[in-house]
Amino acid sequence: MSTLTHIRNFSIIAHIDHGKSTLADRFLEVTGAITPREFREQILDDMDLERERGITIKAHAVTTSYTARNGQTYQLNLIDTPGHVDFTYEVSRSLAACEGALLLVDATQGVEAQTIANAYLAIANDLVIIPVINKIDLPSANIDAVTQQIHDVLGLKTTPLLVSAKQGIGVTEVLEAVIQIIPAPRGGQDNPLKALIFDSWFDSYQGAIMLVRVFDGMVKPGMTIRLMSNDRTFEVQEVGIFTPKRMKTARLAPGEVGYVVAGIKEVTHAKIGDTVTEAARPTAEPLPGYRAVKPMVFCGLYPTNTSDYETLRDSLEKLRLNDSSFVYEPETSLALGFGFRCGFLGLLHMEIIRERLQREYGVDLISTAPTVVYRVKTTAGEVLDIENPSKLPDPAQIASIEEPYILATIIAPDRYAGNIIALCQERRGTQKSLQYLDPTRIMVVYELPLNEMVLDFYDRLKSRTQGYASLDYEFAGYRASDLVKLDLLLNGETVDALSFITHREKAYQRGRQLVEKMKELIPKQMFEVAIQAAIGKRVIARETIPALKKNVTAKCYGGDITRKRKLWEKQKEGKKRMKQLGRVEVPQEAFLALLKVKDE
Amino acid sequence: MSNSPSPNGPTLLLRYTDGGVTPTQLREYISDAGFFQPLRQTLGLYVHIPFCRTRCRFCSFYIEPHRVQQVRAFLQAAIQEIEYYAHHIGLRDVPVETVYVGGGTPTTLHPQELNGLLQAIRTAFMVRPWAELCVEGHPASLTLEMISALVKAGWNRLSLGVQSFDVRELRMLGGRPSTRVTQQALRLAKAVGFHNINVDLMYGLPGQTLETWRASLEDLLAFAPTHCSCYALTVEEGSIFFEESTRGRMVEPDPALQNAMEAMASSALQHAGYEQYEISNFSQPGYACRHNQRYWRDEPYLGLGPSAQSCLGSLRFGNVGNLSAYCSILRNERLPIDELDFRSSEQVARETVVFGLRLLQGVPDKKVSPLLQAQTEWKRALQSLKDEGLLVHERGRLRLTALGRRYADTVAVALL
Repeated sequence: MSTLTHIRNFSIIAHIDHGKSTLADRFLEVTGAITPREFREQILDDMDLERERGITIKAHAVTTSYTARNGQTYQLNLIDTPGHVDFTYEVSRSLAACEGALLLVDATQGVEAQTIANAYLAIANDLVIIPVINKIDLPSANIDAVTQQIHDVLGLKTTPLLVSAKQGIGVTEVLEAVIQIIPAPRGGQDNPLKALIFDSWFDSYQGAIMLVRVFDGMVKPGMTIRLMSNDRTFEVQEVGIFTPKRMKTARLAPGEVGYVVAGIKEVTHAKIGDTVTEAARPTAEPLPGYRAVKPMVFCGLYPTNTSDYETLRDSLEKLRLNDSSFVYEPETSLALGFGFRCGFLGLLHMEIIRERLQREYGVDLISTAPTVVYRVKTTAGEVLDIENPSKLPDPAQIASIEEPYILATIIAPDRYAGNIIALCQERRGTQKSLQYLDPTRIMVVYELPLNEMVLDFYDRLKSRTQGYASLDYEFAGYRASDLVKLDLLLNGETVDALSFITHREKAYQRGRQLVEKMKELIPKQMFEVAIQAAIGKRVIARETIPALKKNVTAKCYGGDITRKRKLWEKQKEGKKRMKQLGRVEVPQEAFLALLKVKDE
Repeated sequence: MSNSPSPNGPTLLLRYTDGGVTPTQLREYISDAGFFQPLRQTLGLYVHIPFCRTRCRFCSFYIEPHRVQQVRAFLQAAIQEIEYYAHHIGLRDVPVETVYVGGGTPTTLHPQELNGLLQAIRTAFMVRPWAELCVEGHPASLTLEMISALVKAGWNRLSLGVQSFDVRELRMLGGRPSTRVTQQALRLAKAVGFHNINVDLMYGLPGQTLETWRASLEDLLAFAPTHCSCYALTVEEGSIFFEESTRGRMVEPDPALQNAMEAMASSALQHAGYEQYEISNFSQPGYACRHNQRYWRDEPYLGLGPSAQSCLGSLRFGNVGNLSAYCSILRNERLPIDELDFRSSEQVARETVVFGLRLLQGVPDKKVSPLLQAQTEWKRALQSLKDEGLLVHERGRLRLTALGRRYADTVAVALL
């Protein structure tokens, strides 16, 4: 155990690919927490999906012991933060567990939108920030320009440390700076317990496991704790740290970071940002900053095969055990049958859940296009939250509709300014600011409706800036808007799963794009298929898929049989994954057609 | 190969990247597939001759340009293969009902070479006296000597890849176009003693019209062969047409026009006394191709030569589609098989129905009813095809309707 003066709690703030994981790995290596033999690249990201996408989804904390140049040994707690905009709240709670942060910037890329957003979060949490420039070994490194950006954009006056995490250059200097610059935690061992939950996950043997930062008092096995947001009490069974291997300890003292097991059956009870205190001797005030996270983006998830409904339900339940920010409830669609309306923090979160359902749980899914939560005031004076476009009340009953807006920060080389502004304007954005970060890079801030954002805004931004733009956003509140529901009809029948809500002025264009895309996605059938887009009863766009005139193999002898049976079996598999809407067979992708329409 | 396949288990797809299979091993597989049990089993033999003088633009088969050296190596290997199947595998006592030598262009070989093959087959297998012995040929390679030598050796059916009687269409197909040569070859073949002759025609060709198609049909009927195959042109992967169409240099056949041409052929031929017995095949009464019917009736066939396919009971296998690999594997005393799989009894039953539906008479009840009893999903699929007017089930047989024949592949996908 270390005394308070010999503990340092810190995070690394960085944009994707700026080398956060590599630097973290170097710290573990330098401090001897892992031997080179155990060294797997990027040890802090343990889910396959995280590794594949090169992003960290869940926060982790590692405790190591470092003997500094002054001869004294320090306990370093490195708290890893999720690296995506969808998880801003989780990032802010991880940062709240620290006294300082390393701001890591790629010497070849410079400051990105995410770096700025997270740096502001750190500043808001009163953290001491140490700027670090990584990848200085690369020929395209531009240390002076990046230093200037850190100075101008973030207002950080300290001279950045220069490292190459990959080559192991400058790593020890960073650790020395952590000890000298980042303040030691404060707190009293004898005070009532006050600890911050900054991460929690589910273990099938021990229930919810919480990662906490102790601010005051101690937590140890046998103690009865209370979670202050919900007043539930639990008995602590085990505490410990990650080195990165899990290691039991006798207690967690002030300033320390570690895990607590307390027989909590549901991960939703151990909410991130909540304060843990002792039941018998509670602290007077919980830690500030707790809030219940609300899903922002919704979509319908349906099993392709109706008999997989139970499997899907069980899989959602299991995923939910580990991820309290994701919600779901059963819903029924005329087109797709029984399924679930699911809510996510953002688009990436949605994609991760969807991919995990298919990959880990083997459920073949039909997913509807993502939508946001609309707030409808009815003429009767009710306020409804609409998560499913097909549930929008009849226009006659609607007094007003509001939609969620976000504040988006985009950073890119200035040669793309025109493209970015055009995209934001097309997406109904209002420019808030435009500034030069350095002579070649701009930062644009736009207020945008979230519903424009969920329709592949990020992909479009990337393609219009050749991948150079970075984006961050935050929720900016609800605004009244002139919105209409657009329905899609196949051979005259409305397909509820394809209805969506859009701004009245964009309805024609979207309707046209959608029917055109549907025409591409739906294969020819034996009969003609009419695709229509309609607002209420008024059809605004129509396409026709001509009938398949013939489908027959002319020659079917020995060799042809071998080839055809393979081909037909493949087609049969494909057919199984189609949804029958009336007589029309519709492939899964068609339900996401809205995301696939051509660039305007 | 790690696991031994079981005929009752799920389909096993074994891929032999090289090296082939030993005769002993294949014998075990065939025995596992239950092929040797029913004593009344018969066999159809197919021999693939992989040589052509030129490649026709619609053709996607495995062929090589004709070269003396390679022909010699091929014949040696083929005779080796025949002997393995007859002696090592033990098929010598299974009566052979049909022998079909196709390609490629078998008539690029010398008649002595073709006759040598037939002789080797007759020596090695129990070829029935009444067996159908068919050889495919190109009109341009049919000389008087060739025809008389073939007749003398006992070949009793000749199948000619005429494709069209219109010289512009022939030129477009990329063979060696001459309608005069075609006409002469047909007359010679008939005069010298081939009574049973098939003529292949194609419709839906680029530039073809209903008028030129009618003219081709009239030329055909003037010659009055016992059998005629009319194929709608399809652009198959691996053909020159396919390459041209992916590069946008070919106008794809218009399905509506093809439907009209099909209707024209069907009525003209039926009017002239032919019956349509399969989607693309017409014959005078009693002259349906016995060999080809085996494919659609799920009756056993053995394919010899590169890329040839075999089906013996629940076992399906195919030879490597490469001449030099074919020869060298056989030189190493192995069979040149590169793909082999067992079908489950359910798969066999489904495939029997699917391929049986190619025949106009359809599939007898006894082949349909096991599926109807065991497979509720299959039954539902069948019902919806009937509801759509693609299938009828009457007088003890399930068959495609005229509409269904245009969507035979749609039906196949639904029922497989």
